[in-house]
Amino acid sequence: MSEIRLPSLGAEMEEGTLLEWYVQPGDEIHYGDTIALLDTEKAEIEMEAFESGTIEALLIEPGQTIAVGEPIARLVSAGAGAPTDASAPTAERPEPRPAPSEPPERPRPEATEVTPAPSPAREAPKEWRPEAAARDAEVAPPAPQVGRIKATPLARRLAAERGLDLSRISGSGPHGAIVEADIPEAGSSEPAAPADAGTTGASTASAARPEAPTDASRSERRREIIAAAMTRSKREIPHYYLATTVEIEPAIDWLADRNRERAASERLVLAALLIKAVALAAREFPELNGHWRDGSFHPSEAVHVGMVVSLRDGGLVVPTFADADQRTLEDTMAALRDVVGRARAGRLRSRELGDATITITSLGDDGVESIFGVIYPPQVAIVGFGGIHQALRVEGRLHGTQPVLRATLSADHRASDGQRGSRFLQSISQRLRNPEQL
Amino acid sequence: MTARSSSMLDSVCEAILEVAPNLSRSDLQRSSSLHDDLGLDSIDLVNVAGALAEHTGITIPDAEYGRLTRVGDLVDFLEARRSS
Repeated sequence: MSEIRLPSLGAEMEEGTLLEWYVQPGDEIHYGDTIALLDTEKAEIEMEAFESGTIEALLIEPGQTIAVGEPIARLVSAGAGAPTDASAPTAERPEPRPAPSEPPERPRPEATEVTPAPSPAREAPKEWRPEAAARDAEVAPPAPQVGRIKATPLARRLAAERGLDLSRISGSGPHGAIVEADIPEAGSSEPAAPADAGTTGASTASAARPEAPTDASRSERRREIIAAAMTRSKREIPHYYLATTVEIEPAIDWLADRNRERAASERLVLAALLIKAVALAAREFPELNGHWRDGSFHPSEAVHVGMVVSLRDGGLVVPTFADADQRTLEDTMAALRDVVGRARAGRLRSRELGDATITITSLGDDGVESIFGVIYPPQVAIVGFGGIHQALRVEGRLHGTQPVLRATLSADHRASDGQRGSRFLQSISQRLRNPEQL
Repeated sequence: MTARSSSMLDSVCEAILEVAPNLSRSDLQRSSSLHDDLGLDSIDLVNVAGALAEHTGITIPDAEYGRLTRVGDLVDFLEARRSS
């Protein structure tokens, strides 16, 4: 017997609303099956099963909003006997995700391609767990509470560790939520009070919400999340910025040859080359690939590339392309088409919102020459690509023009220095000049 | 506009709405710019081309993408291909 819990689908997610169950008690499910439709501030997200088995009970109703880490269903694991301990207290353990090497049992394009991201969590480096859920593992078990104070799980943990009363702390996050930066350092002059058991740990289910938020309210909430993340980034991360000009003609020519006479479904676009080039360079420069947590840098062995996708109604989402350095260009392109399309349709799947280890942002289609991104915490680097434009080329006494692309790097100076950042950008440039090697 | 091009316009609109369900049919005019008016980017256009290939059986060559910037361009290109 195990419990299916609400996963964290990004560092900022604290709760989600069940919109629809795709399964019923008695249904057999397999790893990778979509089992529910969730509503988060970012989008509607199809939640996938992280474990195979038989649904024993559904614990929440559509319309109900619960905190990350809360149980939503009970599962009799595949191969397990009859349920014997339905009330086993496993609340302090978030739902683990299978190891990256474990393939989904149900074939599906991205399900076979997108393996779960490994966790940067200290205690289980080889096991993927959603970031916030991993943090929740260090928090006291959920406890019912009245008059809940809005605070992130990390802020709650820090407050509990430092003996601070959350009710006496002003929050600077979305809707006044208390975030990590609001928690005074231990030993500061902040008045301390014994932490109220009712305000530590994750919350229990809040009042049922009969309907999903409207597009307008979701858009507003999404903007608040972006605002909070970007404010935190600029407040906490000492960015440095580098730029280089990439000769993109070889890539354009290679794509034209590669795409000639191919069906639309087999075409590659430049974005697929950019993702692969960045992923390979990130593997070469580990100080740019990972997370800054708890005062130190934690490099990631895997390369999970986040790709900023602008939404048509404003705002953005950042789906993750897991193990992007190991995919073929064809795999990358297939995932790109599928994920970007669903991201804009508001139907991402839970595995696609895992923690990226580095992010790409591109405004190439919008005509700008360059973009310097704001690092998405806890990552330490973001690569920007502008649009292709013509630049003067001089060779001896010959003048001409050639298509070029501006590649930029915004990086965290705590984790890397400009020289390494410069070499990282040159690595990307060199790879794009040799697209046949991607 | 002939009945045939009207039918092709419908196919193009159907493909675009499949990729960008936030748009409505009334947003799509022959003169609409795929990028500036409808907000489609290069990945969207690949998906539109894929949907059109599925609906019409006509593949848009890579070299043509840069020239097809409006809804009407797509309609005209597909009409010409179907006639040839």
